[in-house]
Amino acid sequence: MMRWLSLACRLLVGGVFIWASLDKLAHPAGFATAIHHYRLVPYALLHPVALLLPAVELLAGLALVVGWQRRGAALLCALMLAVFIAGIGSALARGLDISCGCFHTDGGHAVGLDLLWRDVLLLAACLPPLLARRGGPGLDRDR
Amino acid sequence: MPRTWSGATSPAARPPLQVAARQALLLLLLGVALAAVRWAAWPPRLPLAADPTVYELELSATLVEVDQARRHFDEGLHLFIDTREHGTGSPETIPGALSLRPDTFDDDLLALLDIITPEDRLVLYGDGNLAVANNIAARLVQRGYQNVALLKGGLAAWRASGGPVSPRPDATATEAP
Repeated sequence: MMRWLSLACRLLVGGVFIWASLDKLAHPAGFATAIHHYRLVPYALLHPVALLLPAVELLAGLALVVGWQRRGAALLCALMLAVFIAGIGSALARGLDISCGCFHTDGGHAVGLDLLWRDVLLLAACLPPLLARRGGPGLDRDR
Repeated sequence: MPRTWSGATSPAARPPLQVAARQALLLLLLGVALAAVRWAAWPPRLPLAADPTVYELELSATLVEVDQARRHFDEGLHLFIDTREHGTGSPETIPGALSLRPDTFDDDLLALLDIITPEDRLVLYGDGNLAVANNIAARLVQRGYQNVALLKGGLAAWRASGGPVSPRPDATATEAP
């Protein structure tokens, strides 16, 4: 039972991360602008983060979907989601009216409580592939 | 803890979080490599060091409400600038709008140097919010363009107000009719 739950969570989280990475990979300048609107990342790190984050999102998402290094991929996704939750929460607390930069660098969803809950649910979905003894069908041996 | 014949701890017997941390580190390193390849092989390259002045100038452009923007459009004294990347967002645009995109800003601006001057009145817009249009406005202000405004609500507000739209051209920069 857990392996199938793990598989479902892997596909859900992995699919979301792959989808989220594509526009950011294609438009790093727009993504850097979206990050800057949170006013949390110093200028020295702004462009490196805009380049690195989508690449890690894509790799972690792919790894989850194909079931390779699934515990590490789930841990990375959970850490990224924790950062996103902190960023969105911080923006909400400061009353910033900005787009989240989650999936699209031009426009997209405005930061709000619905995004916060979405990321919390995705974070919860990272736990089965991270902790389950068997991860479901995939390239890892402990399937 | 179970050990292999060589004395090393079997991967299956390691605590899940320890395994996860090792695997995450591997994926992170692969991510760094992928980001480096993307940066090197897929132009235009984002400079590794951000220019703070570009970002600090954001929101220095004035906001213009859609009703005011429509009056500007009817008067014909303003140039409208579409800041969306090609292939993203709605397939329509404001008739006669020029195109300045964040990833190819310098090339786009070079192609438009004979069309827009620093004295021209510019109205920038994106699909719905100000994120990218802000950035383009900041770069224009930095280059000496003095009359830059942002269309509040972008193309979505323009369309909702009944403003005219036309099919979006695929060319890098299209001259206003």
